[in-house]
Amino acid sequence: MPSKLSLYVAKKLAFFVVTLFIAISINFFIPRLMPGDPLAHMMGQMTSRPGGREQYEAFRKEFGLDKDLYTQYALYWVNLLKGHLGPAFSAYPANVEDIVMERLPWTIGLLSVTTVISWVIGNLLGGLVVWTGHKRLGLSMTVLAIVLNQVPFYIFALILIYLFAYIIPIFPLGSGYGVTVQVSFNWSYISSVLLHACLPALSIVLVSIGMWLLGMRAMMINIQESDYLRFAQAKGLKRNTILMKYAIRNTLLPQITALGMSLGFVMSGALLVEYVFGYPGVGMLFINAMNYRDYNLMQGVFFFTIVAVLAANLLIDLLYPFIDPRIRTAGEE
Amino acid sequence: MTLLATLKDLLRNNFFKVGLSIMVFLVLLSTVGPLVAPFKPDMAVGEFNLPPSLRHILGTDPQGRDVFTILVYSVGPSLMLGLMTGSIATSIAFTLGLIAGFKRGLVDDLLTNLANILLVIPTLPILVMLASYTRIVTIPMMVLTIAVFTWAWTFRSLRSQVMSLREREFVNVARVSGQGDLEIAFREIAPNMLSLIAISFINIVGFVVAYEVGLEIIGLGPPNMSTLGTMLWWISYTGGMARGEWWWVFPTIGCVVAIFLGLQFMNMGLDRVLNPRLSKT
Repeated sequence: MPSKLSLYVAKKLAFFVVTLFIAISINFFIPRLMPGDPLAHMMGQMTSRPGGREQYEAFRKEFGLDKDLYTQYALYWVNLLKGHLGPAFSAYPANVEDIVMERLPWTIGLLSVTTVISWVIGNLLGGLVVWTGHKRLGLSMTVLAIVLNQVPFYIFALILIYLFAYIIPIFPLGSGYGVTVQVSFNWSYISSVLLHACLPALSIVLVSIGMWLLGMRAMMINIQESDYLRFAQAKGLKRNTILMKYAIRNTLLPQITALGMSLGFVMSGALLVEYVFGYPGVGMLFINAMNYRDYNLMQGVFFFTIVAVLAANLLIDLLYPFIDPRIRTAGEE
Repeated sequence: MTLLATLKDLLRNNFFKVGLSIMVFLVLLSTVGPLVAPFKPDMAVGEFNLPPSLRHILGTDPQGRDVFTILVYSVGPSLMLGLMTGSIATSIAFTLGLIAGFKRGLVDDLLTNLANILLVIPTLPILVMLASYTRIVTIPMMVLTIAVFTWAWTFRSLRSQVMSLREREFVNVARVSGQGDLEIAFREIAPNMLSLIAISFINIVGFVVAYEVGLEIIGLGPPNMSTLGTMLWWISYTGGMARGEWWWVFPTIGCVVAIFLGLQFMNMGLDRVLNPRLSKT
């Protein structure tokens, strides 16, 4: 009989594979369900240039668009597994995978740092708000979190841009680093990158802190009523011991699950933040591709985004058993 | 607690009062505003990029249109889109949540996994792709696609509520007295979920407004319709921020933020009245 842990891992891997499969299928079918010829859509202006017609026929063959839908679908998977996503028609003859790979580090860097920072700070504040029992502080923090939490990243980004890039121009806009800075591993480059990342990061962090704070606060209030916490208090354990050994361990678990769940949502938000700031990540690339009607590039960005989000999600899921002993040992749920 | 008593409690709750006032203000702005607005929203009525004056209380835009007039005409469509999409998404979430929580078994597994998949996949890129492939974004299409991709969060909370309700005594009594599944689901369980449905609905409206404004801000809104999102797109397209036209930037962003804050404060109020444990701190 398989152990509980291996069953858990198998379940998560299955979820990863199925979700990836569905997302990629969505990616395949969206252009094909729409009226019109997807390749003509993708190539846009290119077909009317000299030699465009021949190129159109060549691509049609290469991507199997002259075959029926099922063969196309199979071929799509073969090409995908080979890492061959075809040309980006707006930057022809550059390949989609090369362009996306160049931009992906910017997005992953921005998102991983901001997600970790806001998760840690948000949970810390949310826990403290309840645990310290300070009424006035608790209320003001909660109200602040509510205000921040529901405002989308990009709206907050617009406010920050207006205040700190236009009215008081202390932060730069429109790129990942200064135009005069050489790309190399030295302080002037790194500081320029950090300076450019400040406002985009801040707009994600402040909003996310609100979200985690509220979640943690609700969780803390809930467990304060629980029997095991009452019992721990009745036993005469010190407040700090109860906090560290009982409260935090039990409230962090759902917050870790929520972290995995929130990644797709955060990614959606980050897309617009990048656009608003002109930050050179995949979000900006995606929206530029949209403006050029470069559908092949858009699909490529979506593919890599999905893979990144799902991989991060899987990583969190696989780390979970190390934190939650209930999954490692026998017993239901 | 009867409905009337709940309403009374709600109106005594400060969070709810703040939220409700904001929403009432926005609704008034979008209904009374167009009646008292001195100009038409699509007509050039003055010089370009004028600062606020008595004639144009929020100045004019780069096409010489009156910003205040555009604003009052834009708030309504944004709210309507949010309410329409929110109602559809909540209905989907409620129906599926009821089915999943009540039937359990394979149906539940399938629906729960579907919801989880939808949660993990970033929604916005899909919406952007759909919108840009169809070229012309119609309102029903925008409403439906956003609803189809946003019901999942709500589904999760509604489903777990159904799961716990179906174990209660009154459901057993109904079952023993010979009521069918459908009757139990709609006559016994659904009425007990009204508060959670209200909270979910408000939540989801905020959520979908964020998506709608997000799509509009990158130029994918329905054509021939002015909303807060298309105003923001127009501001960034014409460089209104760079020219420092605060009279255009702030009221527009302010109205968007007001929608989110109004909804969220109403929800906090609802939460505290209906779920008193939370109000302790």
